[in-house]
Amino acid sequence: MQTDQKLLEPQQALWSYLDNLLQEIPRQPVSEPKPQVREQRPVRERPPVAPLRQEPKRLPAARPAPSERATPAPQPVTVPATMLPVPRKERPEWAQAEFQALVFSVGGLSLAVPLTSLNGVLKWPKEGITPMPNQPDWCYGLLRYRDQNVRVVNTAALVIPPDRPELMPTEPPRHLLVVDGGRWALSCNEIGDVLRLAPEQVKWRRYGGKRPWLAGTVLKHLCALIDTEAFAYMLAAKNG
Amino acid sequence: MSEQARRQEQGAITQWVTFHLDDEIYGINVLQVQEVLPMTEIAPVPGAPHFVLGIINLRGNVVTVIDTRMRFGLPSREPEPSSRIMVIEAGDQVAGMLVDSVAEVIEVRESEVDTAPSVGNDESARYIYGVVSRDNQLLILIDVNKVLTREEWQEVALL
Repeated sequence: MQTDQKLLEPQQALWSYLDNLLQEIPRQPVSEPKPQVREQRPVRERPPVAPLRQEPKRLPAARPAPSERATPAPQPVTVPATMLPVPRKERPEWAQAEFQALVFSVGGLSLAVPLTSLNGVLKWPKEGITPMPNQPDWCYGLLRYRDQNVRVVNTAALVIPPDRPELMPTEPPRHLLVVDGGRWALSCNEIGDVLRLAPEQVKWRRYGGKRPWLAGTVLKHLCALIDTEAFAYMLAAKNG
Repeated sequence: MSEQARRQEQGAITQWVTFHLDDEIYGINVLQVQEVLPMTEIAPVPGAPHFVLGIINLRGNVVTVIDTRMRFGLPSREPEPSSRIMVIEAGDQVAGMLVDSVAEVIEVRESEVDTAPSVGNDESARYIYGVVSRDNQLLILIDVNKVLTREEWQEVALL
């Protein structure tokens, strides 16, 4: 019974995390040069979002339309630099029809990456990764792969929220997933199966929100589907 | 293609003094390395910048010793018998760089040098000349002129 209780708690934590991913982010007025029609949608009732820790970056204020000048201007929402908006469709192009995705795990979190976005799957090299001077915590360093210097990313540090320490890996990564044309490699602990998915089997994220790298959630397998293009965009933005 | 034409295509050959910090290997252009000294007593200088370990007496001249580990974002470590002070020239400045060990001088063709992709830090991108793949390992080439900013070099000169 105690064992069952121990198993239940991490599982509950995982379900709670995935449940949060499936819920839409509260719509707050955002001053950004986007079509005004988006700001007219009703906002659902949901619990308040905790304030972000990182240094906020102010978005340029949008010029209000003449019809809005009579109403109080919405307060601009500051967005961290790490959450630069990614112009994306509701569903990525590779997901317009049936597609295949490779499941992998990072600590206690299951993720999936579409095969069309994958350039290679490697074992963690025996000779290790070459760390670069003053590199950030989310980066392991460089790997030489097919005549390219690939930047190896600590996936856990990027996708597991700080308030979910129980999901963090307890072992060093064992595999690398090369993406974005060989520019980046995502570290992971285990490689799983390849899934053949229909678009209807995924709950798609509509807006960038807090996790621009999240394309959606595979409902049956309870794993987060990565949008590697958005992920690479986020990494490039972090790079400055 | 003649041997001469092939060599011209691959670019000039430069020599680099390689050194270690932890398990990683770095290189400095041999033309910028004046000499390599065994570890010696470094006298701390009160009020010196944080990247300066202190000064040494080199044949009557004062040479400022830079904390290379700290500069590269590595944790501090007590010097060991293998530690060395590389006396380098950066423009008209001379300084020492404390490293874990000095390895060998290697030859590098310009065509072998790859631009190092940035990994999230403009500071390091400034002084990394490039990377070279050798024996399943990446060698990081350093431009000593840029290890310190102009202002930092001026601070060193005042010590």
